[in-house]
Amino acid sequence: MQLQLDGVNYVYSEGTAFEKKALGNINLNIGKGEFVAIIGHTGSGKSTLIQHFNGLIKPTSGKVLFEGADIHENKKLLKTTRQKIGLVFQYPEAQLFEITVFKDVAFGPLNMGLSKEEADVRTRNALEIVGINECDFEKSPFELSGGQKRRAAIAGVLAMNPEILVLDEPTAGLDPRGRDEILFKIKEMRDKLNITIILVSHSMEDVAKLADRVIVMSDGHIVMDGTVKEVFREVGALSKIGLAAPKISYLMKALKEKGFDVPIDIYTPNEAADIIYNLLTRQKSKSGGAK
Amino acid sequence: MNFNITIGQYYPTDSILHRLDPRVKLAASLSFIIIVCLIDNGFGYAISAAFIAAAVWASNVPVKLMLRGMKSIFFFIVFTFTVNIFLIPGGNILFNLGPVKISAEALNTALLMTARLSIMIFASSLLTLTSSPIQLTDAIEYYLAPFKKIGVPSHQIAMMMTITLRFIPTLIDELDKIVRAQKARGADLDTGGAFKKAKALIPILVPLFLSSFRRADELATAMEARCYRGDIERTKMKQMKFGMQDLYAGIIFICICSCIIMANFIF
Ligand SMILES: Nc1ncnc2c1ncn2[C@@H]1O[C@H](COP(=O)(O)OP(=O)(O)OP(=O)(O)O)[C@@H](O)[C@H]1O
Ligand SMILES: [Mg+2]
Repeated sequence: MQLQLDGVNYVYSEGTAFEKKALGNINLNIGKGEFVAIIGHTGSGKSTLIQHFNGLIKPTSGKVLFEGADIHENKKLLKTTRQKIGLVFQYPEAQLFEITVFKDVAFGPLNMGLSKEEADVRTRNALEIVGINECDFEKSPFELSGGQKRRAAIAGVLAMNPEILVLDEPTAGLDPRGRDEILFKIKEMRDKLNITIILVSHSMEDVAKLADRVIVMSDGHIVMDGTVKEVFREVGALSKIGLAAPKISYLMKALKEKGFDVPIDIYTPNEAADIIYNLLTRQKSKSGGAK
Repeated sequence: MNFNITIGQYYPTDSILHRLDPRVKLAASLSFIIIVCLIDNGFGYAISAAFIAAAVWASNVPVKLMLRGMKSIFFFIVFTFTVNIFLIPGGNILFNLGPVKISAEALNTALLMTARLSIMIFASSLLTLTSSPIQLTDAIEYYLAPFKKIGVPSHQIAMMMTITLRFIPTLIDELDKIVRAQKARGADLDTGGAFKKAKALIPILVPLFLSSFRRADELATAMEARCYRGDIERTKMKQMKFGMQDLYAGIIFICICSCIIMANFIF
């Protein structure tokens, strides 16, 4: 297993009046190359959980293992783990600070101690992957549009060549086009670079479209963990913790109840469109044949 | 990094002290601090300390939490004590530690300063722990109001203070978030010399300033959109009331202060 969490508990501000238990007994294994989505109601502990992955938060009890080694064992290991597990925060554009986009993205690689040439190559690569044009490289990051800022910030993490990329709601606050572009880039990255991706998302549609595996959090615990189909089948359990299956699956269910012969474990609009199209053509040919 | 700052932080709970009129609390703590600075007598300090202890007990604020918030200031107190005890010359030598002589005068002054500082810190922490920032600024505005005639913009000052206090926790949260985001990008904040450390602050301060400016701008727009116009016959959502308990508290306080001052003259 590439990443492993072993009985992790976390309490914020322990021992003060503002003590808050955020994670309880988290056991988790994530393998190389997986595309994992983490979903859960607001405040369920998703952001807290992912900050354990690269050691930004140290568990109150329990262990975080990366490639078998406890990442908190020593400072050096922690540092290299931070480079290998790239974490893109919620609203990452808030962390841009350099004079130019290029310099900002190069911040990570230079911190890793790479030579300027090598950092330049990685920066260029990362900017290309997220789809920022060469003509914007020397612009101030604050001149970019919201969606471009977000991409520049993602490139800043990507330029460190992480083996696991963790993204916390990368599409929050973007318009539909910006969302689609970012999601498309994430999918492309995963296919091209073959890295493990962990995506926190509030959009069940995005999760169904992209992920192989879904982890459901509620109140600081993992309550479900399985493939997209396994998790979204449990509509009752999901709605109990304030979540829902992708909207399209409700349409399929409604069709089924009306007597159409459709499967109900369909979670992406594309698949649904295919099935409905087939259904229609079949019916047409049937009625055509009857004529 | 550690941002555990309790001083100046309101501790929301219910107690006699929390319910008192903030004007009474403000006036009492200020005058108490002044009195403690003026007296120089052991009995006076004993009464003051007992009074503070009683007030801490009555405030329902956990003592542990209070002490934690004062950690950095304890360091300052220890420092003052050390400087005083070693550097004040005097004839009456008590100890002789090699080249260092400690005189009775020095010990006396050091103890006095320590007592003063500690009592002052407890008194001011009690004020801020038991009154919300809004209550405090309301009280300050009330006391500044007479100076409006000579051109002191008392309402605006109070509003500025309220906004500042309101945004301190927000900024600390923000700072914390930015620090973690840059750490995730390999920023190293703890090692290196002074120059390297100062340089490492740039990736943190630039985003922090930018977001504070943005927040200030948004807040100003939001206030204007709600037709906020400074101090033109504004009424308050929460009126401060001077009730019977405030009267009793005031009387008790004045009695105790009189005892402290008298102790100073008698002994
Ligand atoms: N710095 C902090 N100090 C104290 N409590 C915190 C802190 N950060 C988060 N919490 C608490 O921990 C719990 C989990 O928060 P977390 O941010 O992990 O939730 P989340 O699932 O990411 O929510 P969202 O979907 O809104 O981003 C919440 O109840 C939150 O109030
Ligand atoms: Mg979150």
